[in-house]
Amino acid sequence: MTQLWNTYIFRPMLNGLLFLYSLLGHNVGLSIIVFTVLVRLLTLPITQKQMRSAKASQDMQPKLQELQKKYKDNKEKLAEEQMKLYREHGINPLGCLVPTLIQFPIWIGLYQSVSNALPGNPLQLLNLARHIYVQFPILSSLVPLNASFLGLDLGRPAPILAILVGITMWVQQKMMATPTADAQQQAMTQSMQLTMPLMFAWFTWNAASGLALYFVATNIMGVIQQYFVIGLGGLAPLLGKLTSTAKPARQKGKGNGQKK
Amino acid sequence: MKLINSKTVVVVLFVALVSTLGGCVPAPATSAWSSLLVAGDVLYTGSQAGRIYALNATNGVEIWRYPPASEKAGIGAVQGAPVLLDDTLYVGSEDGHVYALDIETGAQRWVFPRSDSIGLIYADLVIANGVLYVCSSDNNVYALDVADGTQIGKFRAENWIWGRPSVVGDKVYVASFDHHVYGLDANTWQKDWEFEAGAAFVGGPTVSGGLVYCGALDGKVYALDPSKAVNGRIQEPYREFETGHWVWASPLVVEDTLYVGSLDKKLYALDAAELTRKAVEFSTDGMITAAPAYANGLLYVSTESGHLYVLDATTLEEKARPFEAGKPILSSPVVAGDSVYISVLGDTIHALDAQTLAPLWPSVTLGR
Repeated sequence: MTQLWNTYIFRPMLNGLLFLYSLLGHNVGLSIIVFTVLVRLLTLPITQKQMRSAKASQDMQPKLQELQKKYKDNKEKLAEEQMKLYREHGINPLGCLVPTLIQFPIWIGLYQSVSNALPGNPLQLLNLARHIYVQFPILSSLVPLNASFLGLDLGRPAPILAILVGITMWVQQKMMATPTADAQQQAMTQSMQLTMPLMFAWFTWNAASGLALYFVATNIMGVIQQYFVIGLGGLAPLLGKLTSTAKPARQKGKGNGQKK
Repeated sequence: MKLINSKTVVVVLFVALVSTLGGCVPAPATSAWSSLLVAGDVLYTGSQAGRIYALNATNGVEIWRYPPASEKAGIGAVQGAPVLLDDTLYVGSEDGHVYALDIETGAQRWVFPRSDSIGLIYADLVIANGVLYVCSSDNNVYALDVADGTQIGKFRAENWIWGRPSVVGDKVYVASFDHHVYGLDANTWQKDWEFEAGAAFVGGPTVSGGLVYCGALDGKVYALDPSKAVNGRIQEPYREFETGHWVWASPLVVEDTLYVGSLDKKLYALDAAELTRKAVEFSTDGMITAAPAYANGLLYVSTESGHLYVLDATTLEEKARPFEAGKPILSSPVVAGDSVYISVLGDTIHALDAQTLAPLWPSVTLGR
């Protein structure tokens, strides 16, 4: 199983990343970003389907809430009616799971590639030796990769990138959130919106910051993609609040200026 | 019919992903592997937990450790082999310090640098002409006074130096990840010459018969002739030999034969002058990351698959059934008298009969 994984997922991705590094002026940060963008583009059909499914599910919320009110005392009937509604809209309630599952190996492969491409000690370098395509001498000639990017050493932890991981993931989660009448579910969603970014920020805090850069890049790509498919989603109300509080402040500022 | 909440499942999957990614993070405790030094009846080694040990080489019993067991914290992990001069043991650590210890008690005599630290030290230490040479991941090779650790000189390459230097007379040879082998003057610390290869050098150079040998990550082992340097550069290697994978270990020269272990899992025996095969290469079942050891016409080859082979140095034929350690053996074996010692990844020391590779005493795993 491990051999299959290494042969078909991990090694091609790792060596693809090294190849990009050789093309992009030996800039590892740029290579990670371009690599992430390319992989996101390759998985675009899957993620688009996933997002459209999420959008359709979002649009159905008023009707679902209606059903929940109507059959609040009959759980069995509620489930039956909900399924019917899903069928009418051509939505599989678990539709977004399959694309998520398909992307899992890609995410893990990307993660492994980034962490293995920047060895900082002998055991990590030996691990890279096990997976590099030695039949392409150009790849071996790149080792060790120059890990500096925008003043950061991507082979070492960079708290600033870990914070960015948290922020970008929170934005993405917020956009993905769909309103629900179920208070328990709503509370859980809100809790996850905070927990997941914090977990990833914590996870990248002590890891090589090349990984954090990958997460930032993939989150930003996700945000852009989501914006074009489902719009601002759960972020819209928050942005609305921000703009409404900013407007009076600006007007007040203008007034002061005029007074002067 | 009860509906499965898709969001709940997605959340569970995300948590699974985070756990998976967490599991993929390399364990920070082990970054390298330990090497050995045997002098008389005492075996010296460092551990990944940051202790330096003196063991009785005849039975594996601990004589002392530094820092002592009473101190909770160790120093940084120790990969390179220690070196001994008179009654002092010198050890380089991943914490960026060189420690000089009393060989009788393990008491610290001096530490370099006294404040701050240099880069990670993975290379074996070398003593020549009363000078201690230390290569580091901060790209420098340092020369220290063995008496008190005072810095005498240093040379800076453009990338890490993980291999030990070679010192012959007043010349110092180092190889770096910056793709270069350097010939330095030990008195002035000026560069006499440099040679640029197509890839990085991990192991240190070996000098014999006026030639400098070094293996690189382009899979080649180079023979360089310093007398051919023009304007401080050796443009072309005197000879080169290509293997099927990276050459990590330093080559070993015995008389007129150059032994080269490669990550292609093979050990090559080459004519030291021409770099042509002297015997059919010996195939192992694991990558070779360490130089073989030689004694009494026999070669001892350790592999990442956890095997130690004993070969006839002329024919490269196996002389005994290989010893199976069960874990990678990434440092060089050490032969002393009728025994051969190996350090296995995870800091387990084995003592074996040099002819049969039969264990001489139960293996010892170094504690924390």
